[in-house]
Amino acid sequence: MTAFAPKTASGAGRTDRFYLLMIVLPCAFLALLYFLPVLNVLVLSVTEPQPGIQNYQMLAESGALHRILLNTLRVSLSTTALTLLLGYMFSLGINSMAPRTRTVALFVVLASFWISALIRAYAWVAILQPNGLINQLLMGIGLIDTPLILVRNELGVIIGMVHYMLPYAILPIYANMAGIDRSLLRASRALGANRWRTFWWVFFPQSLPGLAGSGILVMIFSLGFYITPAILGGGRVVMIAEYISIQISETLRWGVATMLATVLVMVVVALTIWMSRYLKVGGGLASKGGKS
Amino acid sequence: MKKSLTFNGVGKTYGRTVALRPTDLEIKAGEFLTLLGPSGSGKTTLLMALAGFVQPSSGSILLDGQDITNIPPEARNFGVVFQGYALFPHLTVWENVYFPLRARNLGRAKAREAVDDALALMELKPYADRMPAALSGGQQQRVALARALVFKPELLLLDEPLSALDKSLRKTLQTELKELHRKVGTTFVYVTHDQEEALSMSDRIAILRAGEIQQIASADALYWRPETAFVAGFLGRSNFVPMSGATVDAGAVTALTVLGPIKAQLPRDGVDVPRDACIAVRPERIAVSRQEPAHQNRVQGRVVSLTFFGTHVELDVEARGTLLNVHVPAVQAAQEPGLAEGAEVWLGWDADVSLVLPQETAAA
Repeated sequence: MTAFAPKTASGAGRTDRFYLLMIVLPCAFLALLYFLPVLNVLVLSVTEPQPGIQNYQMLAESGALHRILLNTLRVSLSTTALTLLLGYMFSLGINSMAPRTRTVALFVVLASFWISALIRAYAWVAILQPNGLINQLLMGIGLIDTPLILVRNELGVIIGMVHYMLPYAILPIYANMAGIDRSLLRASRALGANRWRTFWWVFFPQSLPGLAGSGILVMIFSLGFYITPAILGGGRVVMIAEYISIQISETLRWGVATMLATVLVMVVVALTIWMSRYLKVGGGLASKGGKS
Repeated sequence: MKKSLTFNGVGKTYGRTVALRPTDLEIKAGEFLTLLGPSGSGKTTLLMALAGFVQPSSGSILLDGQDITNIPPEARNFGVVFQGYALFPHLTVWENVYFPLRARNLGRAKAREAVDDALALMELKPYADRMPAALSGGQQQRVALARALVFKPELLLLDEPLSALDKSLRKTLQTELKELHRKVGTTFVYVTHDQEEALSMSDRIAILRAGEIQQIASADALYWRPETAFVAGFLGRSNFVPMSGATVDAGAVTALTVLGPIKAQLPRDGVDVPRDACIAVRPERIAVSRQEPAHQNRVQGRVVSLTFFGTHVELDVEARGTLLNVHVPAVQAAQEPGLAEGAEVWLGWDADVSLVLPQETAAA
């Protein structure tokens, strides 16, 4: 027995080192190809075209930048609100489905991950444009005479972004809902609360952590959207990511571009930290919601 | 506040599965009624039909003569304590108990006295501001009771409320529940599969099996006068001796069995000897002796095993190929010299403790 002990110990040590190696390699990869370039961006934002914080001063002074930031914020907020609303409704639906139909519904949700943002954006242009599917249908049944402007404006951008973000919202919201104890809903009814009150007093407060997590996730994604607004906005709805791309590849103002990129990263990091704290105390937050 | 409940042929089927056969049941105002049965016996279906969560496939439920079959659960004004308590995890203890009053549109200020009273009744005052997750199982159970009683319900329904607790706590809470029933005076309908719980608390016990009520009676009546072999075997223990025939003479039955003719009784007057019947005898009603006893029924046998249980000694005696279980008080066993494994003994019992019972009750 004792003769084997050192062998086993060294064996365990070797296994540990093996697993450590498996972590170290991807970390090195990330550091080299991701964190270093990000750091470079940060450095460029205070050195290009000359050292100083003049790029950041633009943030306070430039009207064009203000418009871009405001666009980004408005589109992201609208997208988040709409996505949460639709995602919550969808999750409610699948939550009350029989297991087999629910599997099918979740498959449909996940299936949209297979199609790239680029193809989806062009598909939406085809559907939403003046002689697209929707307008032809509406004019065909005589509901409208002139085509509705559904694309190459903010509406089109939001439609495309909500469509892209929905699965990301549905999965956390549904996961949270599935964890809510159904016997609580029975208890609520037995104690005298009707269906409506049972939803608002018992179900909704407990679904808030999922809703909050989804909301921050969708917001973080939305702030950095590039392809979808670029195609569906048709150059009229410029969000921060598209603006950065223009500064890099067309106007060659790398200082402004890296400054905006840094600001975006900071905001996203701040939101992520907030989200992680928020999700940890999710139960407490839900209880506040329930007190009304 | 005390109301009586009547089930008129209430039944429930799910497709081809029968959860509850059409059942008649009278629940008296203020009583503690226990529905006892193994899982799948229909006891929970019966309770859920009463609470309004199961819509009966047939029959009607009357509360003081008023039909409540189609009234939704929230309008029934019954308190319900669920298995696992179902406390709202996002609300404090106080808010949990306030919940039914809030549902009855009572403001916090107006409800304060009633909530505080209910918490005091359950000795939960110090925990009012805690979240349910911060309480022990027994405390959670008391919160569930306070919440179910705070609105002075006409009926309190309890669905295996003690099943999640450990044995010693269960004992304590059995006593507390019985005490609570006396204090509040509300009708209690209690579902359990634990016969000890049923025996220790109930005024009456309904024994269910395969979707139908086998017998309703007080605990001791069920124990001494079971009407089916299932009841005799489910509540306590019984020796069952199959019968091949019987002669009846002025109420006295002589049954033909492998043990020879046995003098026995029918469980009550006016019933015939069932077609598929057996004799049931409680192990503690059989006397053991070395000499031939004077009892009406006597058989000779050999002790196969002997186990000492402190209060009593349990014997397995083989008589004419049949194994009989016999409980002898330990004091008495000590006075019987030679009572050991392998010993030849006489077993004796009288006609009034051997009941002729139907083996399998035919579908109603």
